[in-house]
Amino acid sequence: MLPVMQREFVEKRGWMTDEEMVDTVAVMQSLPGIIAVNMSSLIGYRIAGIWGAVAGTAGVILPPFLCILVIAMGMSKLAASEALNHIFLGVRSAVTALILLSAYKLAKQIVKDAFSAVLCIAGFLLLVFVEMEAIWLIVAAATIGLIHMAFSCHSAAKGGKP
Amino acid sequence: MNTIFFLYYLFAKISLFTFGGGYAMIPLFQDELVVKHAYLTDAEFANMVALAQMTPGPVGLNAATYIGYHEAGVLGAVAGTLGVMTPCLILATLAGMFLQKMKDNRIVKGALSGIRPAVLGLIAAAVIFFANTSLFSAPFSNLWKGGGFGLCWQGLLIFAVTLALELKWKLNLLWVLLIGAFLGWGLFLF
Repeated sequence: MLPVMQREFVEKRGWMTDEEMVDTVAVMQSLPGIIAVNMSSLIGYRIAGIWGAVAGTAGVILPPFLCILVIAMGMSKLAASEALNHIFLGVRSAVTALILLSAYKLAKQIVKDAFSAVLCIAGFLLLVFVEMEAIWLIVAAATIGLIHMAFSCHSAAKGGKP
Repeated sequence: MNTIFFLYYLFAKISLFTFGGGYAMIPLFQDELVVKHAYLTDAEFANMVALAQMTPGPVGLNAATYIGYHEAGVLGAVAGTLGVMTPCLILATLAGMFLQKMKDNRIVKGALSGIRPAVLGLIAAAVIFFANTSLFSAPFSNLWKGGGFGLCWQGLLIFAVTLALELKWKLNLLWVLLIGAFLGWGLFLF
């Protein structure tokens, strides 16, 4: 999605510079929510203020909304059959592989030191074996991240390793 | 009417705690929709995620529309979609106002340094969740909770084929899922 946006907003329409685009993406990635929706709200805002944000968001949600609505209406009428179950089992197996691959790719970007490795493994174990709620895991991880940063800044100020 | 408001609230809450989008949302959705409120079974939820991937648009948004409709018709679909959208719209607009300050904010950076690795843990947990509904014949947790555990050879085969296809040719997502569907239909004839 990003290359499409870059071409449209920067090259074709000149609404923002390349640099502004990079800054916008960086901030957008640190926000919670759906990335595409964040992106269209943020760019909409930068181009045309609050109403720009609303218009951008409406534009990005409407097509998939209508599309899913039609599918959902059709699906509820589709009788559950043996064959359909098997087809879905096949799709779920394929999705398992896709998620594993995306986890692997993400791991190469995110796991850089002992801190991130421990946090990631601990998160996985807590979710799967302790069945901790995902929301509390996110809250705990944010807190640990803040504490870790406070301590590493403290030791850097004393002349220790940053 | 209560259901409509509740759907709005539920999806706004999920959206507010989703970092990194897409797959990282799966455990959050599962906690709320399968475990706490029993709107869907594990397999129904997994089917819905698969469907949401096959259709255009962001997975999280598609899931909200689909589940909203499933629970309360067209109004439910609208409530779910608006719920997911609301935190995004508000936070992204605020971020737009304070872009320069946000960029180098130490608190944001510190919090994210913890959240990013945890999100990877969430995605890894989503792999187990999906395997429960496809590669395993019973939930993985049965291994320590008791109650029998086994593997489904058809699922494992499709998993392996998909992995190989993706690693070698990086096929388009839709093709991968269609191949999965076709193999699922074919292998179970045996």
